[in-house]
Amino acid sequence: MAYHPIVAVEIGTSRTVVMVGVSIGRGEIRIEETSTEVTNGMCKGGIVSLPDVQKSLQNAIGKLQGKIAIKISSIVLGVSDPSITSMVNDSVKHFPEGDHLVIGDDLEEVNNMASAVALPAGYDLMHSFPLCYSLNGRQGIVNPINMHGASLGLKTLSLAIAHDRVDNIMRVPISCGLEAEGAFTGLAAAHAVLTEDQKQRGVAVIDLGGGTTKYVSCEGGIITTAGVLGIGGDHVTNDLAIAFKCTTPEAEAMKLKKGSATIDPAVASERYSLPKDIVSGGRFASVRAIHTVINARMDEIFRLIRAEMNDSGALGRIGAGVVLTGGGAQMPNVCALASDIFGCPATIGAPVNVRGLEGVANPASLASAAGLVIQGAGYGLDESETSNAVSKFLKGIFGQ
Amino acid sequence: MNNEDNSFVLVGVGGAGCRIAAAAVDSFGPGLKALGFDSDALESRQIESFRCSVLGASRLDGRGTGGDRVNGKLAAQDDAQRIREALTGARTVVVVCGLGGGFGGGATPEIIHLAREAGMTTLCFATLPFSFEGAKRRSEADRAVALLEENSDALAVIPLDDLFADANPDGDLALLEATARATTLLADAISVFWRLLLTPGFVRFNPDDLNALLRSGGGRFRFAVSESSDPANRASAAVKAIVGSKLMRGGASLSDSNTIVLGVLGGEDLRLNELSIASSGITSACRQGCALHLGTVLDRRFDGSIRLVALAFENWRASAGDAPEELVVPEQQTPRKSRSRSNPRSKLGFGTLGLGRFRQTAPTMHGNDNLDEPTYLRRGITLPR
Repeated sequence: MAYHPIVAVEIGTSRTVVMVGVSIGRGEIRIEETSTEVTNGMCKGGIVSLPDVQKSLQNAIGKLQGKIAIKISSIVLGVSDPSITSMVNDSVKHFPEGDHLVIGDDLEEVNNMASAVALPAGYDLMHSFPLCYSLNGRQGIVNPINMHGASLGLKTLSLAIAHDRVDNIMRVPISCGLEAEGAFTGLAAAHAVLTEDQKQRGVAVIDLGGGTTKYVSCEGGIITTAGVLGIGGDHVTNDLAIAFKCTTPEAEAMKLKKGSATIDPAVASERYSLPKDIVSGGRFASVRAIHTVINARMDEIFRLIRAEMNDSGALGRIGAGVVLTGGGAQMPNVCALASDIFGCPATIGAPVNVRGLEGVANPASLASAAGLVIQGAGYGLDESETSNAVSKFLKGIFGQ
Repeated sequence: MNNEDNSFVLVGVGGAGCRIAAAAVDSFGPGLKALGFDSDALESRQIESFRCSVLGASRLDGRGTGGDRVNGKLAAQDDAQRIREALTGARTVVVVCGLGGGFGGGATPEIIHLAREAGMTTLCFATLPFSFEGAKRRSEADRAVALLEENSDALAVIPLDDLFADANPDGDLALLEATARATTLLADAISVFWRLLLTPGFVRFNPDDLNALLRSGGGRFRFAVSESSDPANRASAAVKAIVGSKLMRGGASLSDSNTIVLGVLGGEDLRLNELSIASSGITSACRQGCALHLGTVLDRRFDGSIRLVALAFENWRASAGDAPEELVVPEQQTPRKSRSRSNPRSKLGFGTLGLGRFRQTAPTMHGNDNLDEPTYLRRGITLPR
């Protein structure tokens, strides 16, 4: 490889993805290798058995190591723990002299104040997204440089994670001899699949994982909502297993073969043969019933996210619609359901901002890993530039 | 404001609601914009006065809900976008439905919720089943009333027993005729209310006034309509009929009310003192300090008679910070976004058994809901065979 590779790792509840990409110049990233491994030891996005998760990562890294020349020593690690919570904070700097001309140092200072935001007890700051500046209490200021005011404020959306959770998560790569930098997988997915037009017009990205569902919305290039639900595709499978009294693998097979996020009238009258059990002979489930179970759960997931976006005021600001990624985006009719609930177009998101994934099956399921590679490349923050606060802000969060 | 105000829409929900709405349209004549929703394709085709859309076809195949309120709710949720499109352009939505069955009680709260989300003011007329229909139907209706109250700006709950009694005071009509008369009475009442709002009068009470009233508060209300052609005494007779009506609980709803909307509809022969008699007659039946909102309609069709329509708000729910001193606010206004969800528990009543692979993990809680429990169970959805 001509350039230093970036290694991204997403340890999902169902599978671990390791992806290697390189920056090939002209602002482009190419994915060179990808490996996936079944994850053991995770449930609902949280670690339940550290040794099992460590082994899953070791296996995934081992599979990939054989394909690339250099030794993997540092990674970008995707984090999607359900303890992740978001909050909006205001930082305000008052100028004693009253009428002050705002300069770059003032912005640095107020940005630093925003980073020192008060968090819930036991939580660490993950990301801080600038929303807008304010001058003398007037919101919506994009660039306050050379403007006058008695006070300068910055509203930020902060993502925080429980300290003990992130501690345990970071032990996993450390135990494999890897240095790791953590990043929110919801944001990573957005990095991978969104175009500039979508980011400006307003869009929501929903990453439907096995254990968790992550969501991010933005408008004008600025993040407006972000969060994690501790429910995902595994809950769909579990609902089916309980409804039809079958094992989890049987329910998973049912979901893959006959699943639909809405009740599909074309096939609803069909019957699905369930495995025989000791007591009874052949059992059947109506496909309508299967769709009903799945629809209830998927509907709930989307409505919970919709409620969060409504509370934050972001719901009416997604003119470009909803983009779905993750394994759950493969579910038939999932776009139709999302479109109904959010009242706007919904599409499957493919990682359009990287090369090298064009021929893969289900590229949407690799969106988070691809986005972690983009973040690992530090894309948008060229090290040769002086990174000042205004530059960061004007590029929007997607420049960070 | 003319008779064709497209921002004001009557919506019939379910079989009973659509029949009443159709009768109201027939009574009013041209100019009453109406539409309907039902899950039963056969019943919806029988409505000729307006377009009745079938909801939930992918789930119910164009059949009824079988009395299952959850199915009615899901049918409305399945076609939420179509409901939004059908209501586009409306500013005020007046919904009429029958409770106790499946579609009316299940879909109506969803439809009203969608209308409210779109910024529309919502007014709902909901009938309660006859007492002879049994306790189960009544219990279903009561559960639906709670949801309607939470979602609508104003709600009139109309016991069919009372409507029937007003339509057949002597009890001498045959069942079919009395039932038809009860439907007509309610439809006529809605039609008269519509006429009050859409027809300019000497004292105006139009949709803007109604919207302003409801946006400043709202709540449950009772309503009644009366008519008198007694040449010597028509105003007093009409007042007496309102005060004594079963729908007004024999006048108790007036005396309990803090806010009254009174419409007086008469012909060109309506006299000023008749207006005064009607107004004072109603307010004398109310408590002191009750706020009266008066509107009149003069229409030659009503020559020789006087009609009164009264809405008595029984528990006025004023907006926070807006409540004037003389109004009593018996309960806090429920914030729109924090709706308490009903949480139907599984009939099986199992504990951790119903959690499957998540039974050993810490629960994923959202409010009072354990999200690890299957959603279809928590929502009370009966799986089809």
